[in-house]
Amino acid sequence: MRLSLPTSTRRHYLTGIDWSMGMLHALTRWRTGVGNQSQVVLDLAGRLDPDQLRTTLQQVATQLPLVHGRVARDWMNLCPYWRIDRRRAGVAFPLRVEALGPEAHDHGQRLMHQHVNQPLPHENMHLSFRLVHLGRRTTRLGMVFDHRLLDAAGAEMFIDLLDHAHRGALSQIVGQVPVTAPAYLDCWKRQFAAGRIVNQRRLEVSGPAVAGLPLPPPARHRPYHFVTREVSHAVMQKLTDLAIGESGAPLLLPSLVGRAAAAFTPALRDSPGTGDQQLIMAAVNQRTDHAGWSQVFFNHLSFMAFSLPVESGADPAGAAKSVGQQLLSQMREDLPRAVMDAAMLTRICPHAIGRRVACKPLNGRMCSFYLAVLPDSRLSDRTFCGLPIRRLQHTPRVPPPPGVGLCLARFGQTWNLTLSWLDTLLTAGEAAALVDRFVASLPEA
Amino acid sequence: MTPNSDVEQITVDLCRLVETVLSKPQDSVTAQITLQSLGMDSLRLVSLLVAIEQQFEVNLMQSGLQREDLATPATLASRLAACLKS
Repeated sequence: MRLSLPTSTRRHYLTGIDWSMGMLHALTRWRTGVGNQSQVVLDLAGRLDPDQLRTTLQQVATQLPLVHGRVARDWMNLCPYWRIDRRRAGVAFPLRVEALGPEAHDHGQRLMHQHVNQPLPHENMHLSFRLVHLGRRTTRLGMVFDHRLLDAAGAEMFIDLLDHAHRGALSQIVGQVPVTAPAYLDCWKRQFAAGRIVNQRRLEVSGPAVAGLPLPPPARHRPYHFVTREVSHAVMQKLTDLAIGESGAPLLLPSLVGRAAAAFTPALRDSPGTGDQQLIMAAVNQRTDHAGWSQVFFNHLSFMAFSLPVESGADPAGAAKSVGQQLLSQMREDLPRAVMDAAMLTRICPHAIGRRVACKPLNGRMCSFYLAVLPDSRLSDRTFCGLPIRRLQHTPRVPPPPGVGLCLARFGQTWNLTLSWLDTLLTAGEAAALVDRFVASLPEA
Repeated sequence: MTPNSDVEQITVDLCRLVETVLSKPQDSVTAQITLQSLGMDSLRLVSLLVAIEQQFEVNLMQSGLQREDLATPATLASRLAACLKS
């Protein structure tokens, strides 16, 4: 007799990665007082009318009640799902508007950094907006997003969705956004096999102690800080060419991991009680090209981990070669897919327990730092609400541990680089030096 | 088979592999289409190299791959044919 667990066709059940993001949310909130949230900042050429933006946001909040959902558990099949509270449909997103002088760019940047460190006002609220007018010719728009609802690429897609809503095309998109998702209560064999692959990989990297910056004790409000830089696309193309000699193929990721590891070497080497290896976790996008708007919400990503000696700073090319080999070996066993499948098995574990369990292996250091690379912008147009976008910047709050990470996101011919770190992990001077080292290690265009 | 027909067959096989890796419809990838225009990013490129390794038993990453080899399925097939020959 086949056992069939009851499953609702009216609920959006969460995937294992979505559940893991919820666990990281609990972990980040416990350590910093604020959940796992990040921000996308747009610099717009012109003055964005706040009322116009409010109207657009209202339309989206009304027509996509999914945005005001929250995590719940189905007590029939024990699977977590996203509970959509239709009574909250149309509840306005927080939007704060400020006017500064045309030269107040630094102040505008500080306001955005404050914004991403502020808690969202309600458990059902997953987005918050801040609009800063810098004179009449520049507007800076920050969108803070909860990683339980959107990942970084999804956040860019959501901004694109807002632009479509502004142009009156929201109704065409709404039908393409799935409101339900299955409970994934099949494929147990595949999930357990994936769990074995992930555990093997974990054992492989758990030999030498993982180097990391010492985490501060949990606090009710501990902010993140950011250093941002711009790198031209020509530099990245040059790096891709160099990668052929380094990793054997024109792959950007190994060369970036190698250089990032080299940039982190002095900080990790000087850290008290540090380990012998750097473990770098990289988020990899798992969206399919044809999925379109159906993959705006929730998390469509996986993770890969690369280990390097702490002293890899001396030889970034050698590090890139080693990462290239690790990348190939992980793709041979389809590790990104295995991580997604194995994460399904963790959905039974409540977040309060999960956040403690997650910190147990590797001496409480999940990795030395995170690296996120977004090689393609998800915006279909280079305008937002009719205004040209000059710059798009991500300011991610990297969950602790490790609480520190590098994010590289391409927008047009520019790559925006952001180093994020939890308060006390680095001083402002150390962070600036780290970013300078990374930028200096890139080839000249 | 002549060397030319070898390359032609490898090209056809590669087009099918690219379709699988990029989840494209059957027969949508042609020999001369650029891989970049198909949305081939780093990770998918590695997936393609792994698929080639499994089908042809050649590790292209250790064979001195060049950027121009990865322009189209046809250029990649030429490179692969040369590797198989050596």
